[in-house]
Amino acid sequence: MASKVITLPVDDPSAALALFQEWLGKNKILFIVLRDTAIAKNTVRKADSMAGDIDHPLWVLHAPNEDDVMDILKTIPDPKKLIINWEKPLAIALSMDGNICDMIPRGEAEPTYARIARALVNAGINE
Amino acid sequence: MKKQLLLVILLGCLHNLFGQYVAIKEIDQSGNIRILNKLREPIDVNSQLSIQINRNVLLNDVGQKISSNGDPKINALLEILRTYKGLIEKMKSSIDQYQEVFKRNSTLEQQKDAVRTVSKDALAILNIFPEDSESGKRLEQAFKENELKSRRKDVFEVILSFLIAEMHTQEGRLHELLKESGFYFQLAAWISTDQGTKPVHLEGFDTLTQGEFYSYERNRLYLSPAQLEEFKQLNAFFETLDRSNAFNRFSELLLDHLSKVIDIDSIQIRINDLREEIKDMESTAISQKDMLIKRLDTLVEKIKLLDQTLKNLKQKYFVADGIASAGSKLEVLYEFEQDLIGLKNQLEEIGKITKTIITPDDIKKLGEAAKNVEKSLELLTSDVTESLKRLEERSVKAYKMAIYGREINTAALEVSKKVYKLTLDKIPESTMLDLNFTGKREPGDLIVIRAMLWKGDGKSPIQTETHSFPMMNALAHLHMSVAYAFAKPVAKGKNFEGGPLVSILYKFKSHNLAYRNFLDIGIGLHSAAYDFNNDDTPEFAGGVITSVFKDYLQFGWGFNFNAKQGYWFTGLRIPIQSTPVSLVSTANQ
Repeated sequence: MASKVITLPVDDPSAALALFQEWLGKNKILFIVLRDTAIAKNTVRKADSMAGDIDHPLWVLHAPNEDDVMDILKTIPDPKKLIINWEKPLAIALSMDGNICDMIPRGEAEPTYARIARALVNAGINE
Repeated sequence: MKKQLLLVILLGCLHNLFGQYVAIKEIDQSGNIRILNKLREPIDVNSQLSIQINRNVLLNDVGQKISSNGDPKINALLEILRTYKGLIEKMKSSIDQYQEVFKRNSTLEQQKDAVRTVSKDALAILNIFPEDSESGKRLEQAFKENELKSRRKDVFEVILSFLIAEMHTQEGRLHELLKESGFYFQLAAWISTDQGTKPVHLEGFDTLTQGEFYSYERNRLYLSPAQLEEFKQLNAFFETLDRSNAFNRFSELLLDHLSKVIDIDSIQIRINDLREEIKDMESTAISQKDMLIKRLDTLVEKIKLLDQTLKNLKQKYFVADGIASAGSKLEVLYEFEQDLIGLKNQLEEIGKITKTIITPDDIKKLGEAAKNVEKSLELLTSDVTESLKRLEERSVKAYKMAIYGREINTAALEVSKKVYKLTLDKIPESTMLDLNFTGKREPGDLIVIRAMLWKGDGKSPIQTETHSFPMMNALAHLHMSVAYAFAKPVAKGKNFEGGPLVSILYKFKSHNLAYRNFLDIGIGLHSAAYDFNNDDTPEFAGGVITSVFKDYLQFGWGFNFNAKQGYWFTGLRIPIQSTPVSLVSTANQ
């Protein structure tokens, strides 16, 4: 099955930014995973396993260098005020309207499948 | 308010038709399939019956019976399953819509709506299974296994599949509890014929031996011995008749037959004798004697009324104009049943009166002589009762059988020891009953199928569902008939000529018992022997024919090949004493 992960380039910040902005404008449910740690990579893998077919709106976006896109990240609407400090999030879930609907904080443990599923579902509800 | 707890099985289970334990279809010899919705419905004599067991209805009943006893474990399980079912139905529907929206060209708003709906349903399910619970761990495992598959499901499909699996698990637990509570199921069948009632084999539900193969001969292209005898009788009857008097003779014959069922003459003779006996009685209780005679006179009036009713019936049903001019034949026949019931009521009233003519007080006052009168009254009562019995047995029951098929006391049918008692998890989904393996049978015989739910060692089932199927020759078929025909040559000035007639008739397909047993229209060809030129030499004739009233009335057109003349005709089968009568059986006379 085709992967539904978009990995931002690490060696070209402007390309990374451009790609990121392009995907923000596509009206998809985006599960954005930040940094390049082992936990982050596993989280990307788990989210990709439940993203579904190519024509479905669930996509995973991996930003290994979060600094390349931090300026844009900070402008994303956060109606629930889930993010106070951008050091905290491991992953955020954006609705099709581009709102932050869930945030998985960085921690010692890798997020479970169920936690990732809940984040995707919250993004789908967009409330 | 008592909670109504519903038990749910799998999605895609058999559709619950009408809340019955079994859903039955008839597959006839031409391959047509009829769904049999009613608990009593006619079927063709050579059909197969496909029987599906509605397990969800069965378990629903069991669940309700258990919940009404207040078993907390089972109550809790039923509640869980009810919740799961509701969530599964919603989720399935919203996933279908979500997938549909992204397959076709839909607007962004439509896509957002579909995503919102399916996400809400998914969240409702996720909230049931906390991550740190056993079921939460099973959910986690389900996601993990999904990742390893080549064809992976999306998050919504995984959640739905998981919930369905959980429901299976809970169902399994429920089956175990139900097994412990001792519910079981039986499905049994019987066939009722003139030879009696016997059980028949249902695959998967008993160890009875399958019956011999017997296929009812639907198309009868020969005259049976009874028909040949009838032919002879008809010929003899009409040849000796003054034809101008034919219909009077015919109706006298029927009235004579009905009179034998109700012996008016015998009853009247007894009453006259009784009257004389009372008058001649030696007693000083004159006023008592007068009272008896008065009561007897009341009875005489009732008998006269009965006699008049019989004569009115003759007027109404048995003169030629009455039959021919009736608008709807079935209405005539249903009215006939009501008239017979009226006749029965009159007889019952007469029976009651006979019992009250002489009282214990009368015997006290009139002395010993009254005891003889009492004995004579008993004989009179007995005559009336016998007439009633004969009328009921031959007329009303035979009539009911013709309209409704054979009636038996289905509640009294005994379940063979060879019928399995199945626990609820062992019930087969379906079975088949091929009537061709139920042995010798005739139209009018009956198939009974009964589903029973038992608990423990109970003496009788806690729930029973009985289906009865009167058998009939329902499909279109050919058969031969005999009649005596009155032919009117088309040439002017010619009178009616009588002669015997044989026909081969096409009977239309019908699953209506009343139609088949009373109306039964036929069309076909006939051949007959007439003597148009009155030279005592039979002439060969043939043509087309239509029959109604089960061939008792026939009419058509033909051509006399010897006399070279066409003719119209009316033919009759007459219910002569020795021949079978469709409405009233003379078998026991």
